[in-house]
Formats: sequence, structure tokens, C-alpha cells
Amino acid sequence: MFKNMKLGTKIACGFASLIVISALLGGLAIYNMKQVEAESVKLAEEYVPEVDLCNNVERFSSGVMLEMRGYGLTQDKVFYDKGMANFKELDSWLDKCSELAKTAKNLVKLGPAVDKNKSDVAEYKSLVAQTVELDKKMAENRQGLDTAATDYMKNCEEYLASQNRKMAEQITAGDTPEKLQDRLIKITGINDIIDICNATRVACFKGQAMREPKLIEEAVGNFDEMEKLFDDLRKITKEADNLKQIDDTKIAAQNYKKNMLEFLVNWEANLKLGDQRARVGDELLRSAKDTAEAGMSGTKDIAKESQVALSMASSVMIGGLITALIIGCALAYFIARSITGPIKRIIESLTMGSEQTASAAGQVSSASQSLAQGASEQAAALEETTSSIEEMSSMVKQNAANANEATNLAASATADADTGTQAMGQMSKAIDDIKKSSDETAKIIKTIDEIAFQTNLLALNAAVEAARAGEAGKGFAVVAEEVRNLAQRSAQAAKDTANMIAESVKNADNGVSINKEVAQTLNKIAEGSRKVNDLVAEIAAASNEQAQGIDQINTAVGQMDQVTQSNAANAEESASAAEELSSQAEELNGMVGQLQAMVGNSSGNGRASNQKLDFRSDKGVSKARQKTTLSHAQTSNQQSGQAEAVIPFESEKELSQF
Amino acid sequence: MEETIAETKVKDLAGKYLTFGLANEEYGLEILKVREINGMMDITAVPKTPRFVKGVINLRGKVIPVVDLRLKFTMSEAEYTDATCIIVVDVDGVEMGIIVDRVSEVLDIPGENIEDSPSFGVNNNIEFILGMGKVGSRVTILLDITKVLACDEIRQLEQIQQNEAA
Repeated sequence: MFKNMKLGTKIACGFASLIVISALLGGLAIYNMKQVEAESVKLAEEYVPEVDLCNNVERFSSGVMLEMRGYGLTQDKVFYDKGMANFKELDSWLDKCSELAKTAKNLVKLGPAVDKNKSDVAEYKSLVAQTVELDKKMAENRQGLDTAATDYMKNCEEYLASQNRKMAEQITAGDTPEKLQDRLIKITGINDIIDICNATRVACFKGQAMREPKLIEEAVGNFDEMEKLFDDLRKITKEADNLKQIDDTKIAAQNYKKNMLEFLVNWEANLKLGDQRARVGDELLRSAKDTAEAGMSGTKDIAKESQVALSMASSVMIGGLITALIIGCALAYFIARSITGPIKRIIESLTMGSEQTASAAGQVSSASQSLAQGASEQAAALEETTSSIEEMSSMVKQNAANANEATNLAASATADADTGTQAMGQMSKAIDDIKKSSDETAKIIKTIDEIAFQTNLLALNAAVEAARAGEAGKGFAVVAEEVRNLAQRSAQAAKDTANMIAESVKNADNGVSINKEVAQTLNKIAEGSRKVNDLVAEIAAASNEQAQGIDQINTAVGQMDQVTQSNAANAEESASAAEELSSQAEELNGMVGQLQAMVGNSSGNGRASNQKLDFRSDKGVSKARQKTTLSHAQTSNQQSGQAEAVIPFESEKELSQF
Repeated sequence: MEETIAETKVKDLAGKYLTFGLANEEYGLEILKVREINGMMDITAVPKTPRFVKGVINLRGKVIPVVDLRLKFTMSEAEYTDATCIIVVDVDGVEMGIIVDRVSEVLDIPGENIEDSPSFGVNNNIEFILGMGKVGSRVTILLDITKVLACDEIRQLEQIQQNEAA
């Protein structure tokens, strides 16, 4: 199906498939990119801000906690202010978080976490406020403590100073040692009171300084001792102002005690609050941290997802690219093949066609040359033919005369043969006679032979008889011997004669057969001469007909002359046509060469150019051939010789066809 | 001694012989044993006789038995021709005819031309040969016709006589 498509359709198909492949690849890439982009947007707009906010929240939460802890420990206003500033920041960041939680759809955990954080912050705030309240109370208590202690110490010192003055007066007055003793007891008592007060205060300060409420609690026990000391001193004290001083001191001591107890209560409450604050703060921190970590892990997840998506996209792209390359290469190869294949085939057939055309042009050219040459030779041959025909007509006449004479001769030969046959009949009769007489002679000879044999036997018998006779028969024996000799000679002569007769009989037989053959031959001769007679008559008739035929041949030769002339003209025309054909074949070859160059196939070029050269040489010869005219028959013969030298291939064969 | 005997014997053999031919060989007969020579005649066959006994002929009123010498000498039998002859011989007073292929002549063979028959290693069967006569370049076998015919003939005659007696 694809093979039969048009060239344009094939190319369009190739480009279309390439475009489709690249569009698919691009679409795939864009889709992957979009996915990654969405992930990145999520990351940039939701997770990263979340992490940022959560980190800030955590930072400020920890700041708040730090400052507030500092404040809780030192009751320094600076820490408090700083903590409050952090609170503001924290609130603003939490507000941002809640805003983000509203807008971001993916951050499911953020909303509740922020709410919890907010409530934690609120709790913390209230705790801080309580702490501030307690701190105020504690400050008041401290002040109370200080005033009470001041009162206490003032009264005690006044009492001590009065006692010391009185003592000095007594000493100067020279009072009794008992009185002095009393005074000294009073001084010692007040000193004890002062000491215990100092110890209590020291314990109180120490407890605060060391943040150890137990020390203060232990100091509470001093107040009972103090009461006892007061009671002892009151007993020995008589002066009214001194008593008042002791009472005042006592009141101050009680005041101190009250304040100290309150302080203790408040302190413990403050410590408890501190613990609570720390707890809430820890919770806040933890939740902030959790949120931040959740955001972080989400970020990580998304980053991982986008990394996976990106790597998948890149692998898909690589795979797609390789596939596209392979398909593109295959398509390019296939389409190029499918385009160049048919063109190559066309080029091959074109080359073959042009070669064939060129060779055909060469053949036509040579054929027209041969035709021209043939025409001239024909003309010459026609002249020769004319003269030959004249000779022929005279010969035909002579033939007729000779035929007549031959008829006469044949008739006489027939007669002679007949005579010979008769003579042969006579001769065979004579030979038969000879044979008969020979047979008779042979019989006679046989008789002679028998006689000779008998004579021989007789002679032998005589010899035997003579031998028997002994000496007397000697002469007889000689006679018998002679007789026997004679008998033998006659037998020999008879044998010779018999042989001779047999020979002559054989010869006679031979003669008879020869005679028969001769008679047959003579008959054949007679018959042959009759046939000769008939044939000669036929020859004479044929000669007359030949004479008529020769006239007809004469007119035919005239017509042939005309045909030859028109042949020559046709040969010229076909030569020019062959020239044109060869030039067109050359042009065709050039075009085929261009087509081959276009397709990129170099095979077959050489052949075409070779062919070109071939028919060029033919053309040159054909031009020379055209100059030959019919009247110059002999020169044309010469030229044919030259042409044979020029044209390498066979002209004889083609000439013979003309 | 033996030599002289042999020589005398050979010298005794000198004399006239009638020579005849059988196949390609020439044989000689003592002339005195020959009665006469005849051409071929009509032979009357006699039954119950040996194969070489051809029968009997009527020779001027006398009935004479005829033996074919070719058959007697166990040669192949041949057609009788014009040259075939019957030689009538006298064997111990009995006239018998022998058929030979041809009769040649009456020859006088001198003693020096006759040699004793050669020894063939086994010589018990050639006692019917008198000797070898040299005639020109040829050798003529000289036959003792009495022995040729007698060995068998006499035995046969005795047998016939015995048969008659029985």
C-alpha cells in the first residue's frame, strides 16, 4: 500500500509522523513540568511560609519564655517589657499563621495548631498577669517587713540606749551591785532580742537570696522565743516608757511575723505560677515546634515528590527522545528507501532505455550505411545483370540449335543400340552351341579316362603276373610297364583336355552372362537415347521460354533500377533520422545522469557515456556514407573497404542481407 | 649276431612291391602275395561280420571276402571313388580282397633302401609292418598282409569253426 503512494504523500506521511511524535513528546514534557510546577507552587506558597511562620512562632515563644522566666526570677521590669514586646511579635506571627491556615488548603494541621497556640499564649498571658500581681504583693510584704524591722530596731535601740544611760548613771551614782546586775540583765535581754531579730531578718534575707522558703519557715520559730524574751524583759522592766518600748517592739515583731508569713504564702504561690508558666510555655513551644516539623516534613515530602516527578519526567523524556530518534531514523530510512527505490528502478530502466536507444541508433545508422552501400552495389550489379542477360539470350539461342542437333544424334544412337542388341542375340546363340559341343567333348574325354584307368589296372596286373613268372616274365614286365606308362599319359592327357574343356565351358558361361549384360546395357542405351531425345526437345522448348523470360527480366531490371534509387534516398533519410535519434539518446543520457546525481546513485553513468562515444563514431561514418552516390558504384566499393576499416563490427553480414 | 640276422632279414625284404595309397600314406605289398587288381565292384554285405568286413564279391565265379583296409587300420571311413580299387591277395592260400584308396605302381625296392620298422616304445602292435621302404624322399610302409589280416581273421575263423562244432 505504502509502495503505491505518491512521492508527495510519502514525504508528507514521514513529516506528519515526525510532527506527531514531537507533539506527543512536547505534550508529555509540558504535562510533567506542570505537575512539578504545581508541586513547587505548593511548596513556595504554603509549606515554606508555614515553616517560616512556625519557626518565628517558636522563636518568639521561646523568647517570651526566656524573658518571662527572667522576670519571674528577678522581678525586673526590663525583662517584663521585653517579654511583652515578644508577646506582641508572637501574636502578630500567630495571626499570620491563622491567615495562612485559612488560605492554604493543604495545611490541615496548621489551623488547629495555631488555635491551640493562641489559647496557650492567652493562658500564659494570664499567668504572667497573676505573677505580676503576686510580685506586687510580695513587694508590699517586703516593705512591711522592712518597716516592721525598722520599728523593731528603733524601739530596741531606744530601750538599749536608755538602759545604757541608766546604767552609766548608776555606775556613777555608785549603786549596789544588785542594781547593776539588774541593769545588766536588762541590757543583755534587750541585746538578745536585738540578736534574735537580726537572726530572723538574716534568715529571711538568706531565704530570699537563696530562694529557699524553708529557711524562712524555720525562722518563724524564732518568734516564739522572741515572745518569751519579751515576757522576761517586761517582768524586770519597771519604767513606763521602757515598757512602752517593749510593747512597740512586740507589735513590730508581730507585724514582721505577719508580713513574713504573707510573703511566704505569696512566694510559694509565685513559685507555683512559675512552674505553671513553664509548663504552658513548654507546651506552646512544643506545639510550635510540632507545627514547624510538620511543615518541614511536608516540605520534604513535597520536595521528594517533585524530585520523583522530575526524575520520572526526565526518564520519560529520555525514553521518548530515544523512541522518537529510533522511529525517526527508521521512518527516514524507510521513506528514503521507498522514495529512492522506485526512482533508482526508473533510472535503471531509463539508462537501459537510453542505452538501447543509442545502440538502436547505431544499428539504424550502420543499417542505413549498409543500405546506401547496398544500393550502389545493387546498381553495379544491375549493370552486370544487364550484360549477363544479353549473354544469356545469345546462349539460349545457341542452346536451342544444339538441342536440335542433339535430337538427331540421339536418334542415330538409338538405331545403333538396336543393331547391337540383335548382334548380341546371335552371339549368345553361338556361345550356347560352343557349350553344347564342349559338353559332348567332355563325355568323350571321360570315356578316354576310364579306358586309361582300366589300362593302368591291366598293366599293373600284367606286372604282377610278370613278377610271378620270375625271370621268364621280365620282358613282359617291361612291356607291362610301358603299357602302364601309356595308360598314365593318356589319363594325364584326358585330364588336361577335361580341364581345358571345363575352362572353355566356364568361359562360354561367362560369355553368355556378359552377353546378357551387354544386351541389357544396349537396351538401356537405346532407352537413354530416346529419353535424351525427349529431354532435348524439352530443352529446346525451355530455351524458347527462357528467351521470353529474359525479356521480362529486362523490364524487371529497369524497375529494380528505380527501386534502387529510391532505396538510396531512403537510406539518406534514415541516416539523418539515426543521427537525430542518437543526439536525442545523448540528451536522454544527460538527463538520466542528472537524475542519478539527484538521487545519489553513481552506477550506470560510465556505461551511458561509453555508449555515447560508440554511436558518435557511427554517426561520423554515416555522414561519409551519405556522400556516396549511385553513379559511383566502384568508388563506393572502395569506400566500403574504408568503412570496414573504420567500423569495428561486422558489415559483411548485414551487407549480405541486402 | 642279431645285427646280421636283421640285415639278412632286411636283405630278404628287397624285391618287388605293389604300392597303394590309404589317405595320405603310401603302403607296399609283396608282389607275390597279390593275385590281381580290380576296380571297384558290387559288394554283397554279409551280416554278423566285423565292421571292417565289407562283404563278399563275385570274382569270375569265385566268392571272395572283402576287407576295408581304412576300417581295418581304424581310420575314418571314406567315400569310394573312381580310383578306389580292390586288391585280391593270397593269405595262406585264402584269397581275400582289400579295399584301398588308390593303386600306384609295382616298385622294385633294393635292400639298402629298406629299413627295419622303428621302435615306438610299445611294439606289440606293429608286427604286421615288415619295414620302411625309402622311395625318393617318401617312405612307403611295407605291410605283412598275412599278419594284418590273420591276427583277427584266424581268431574269427577259429571262433566260427568252434561254433560249428558246438
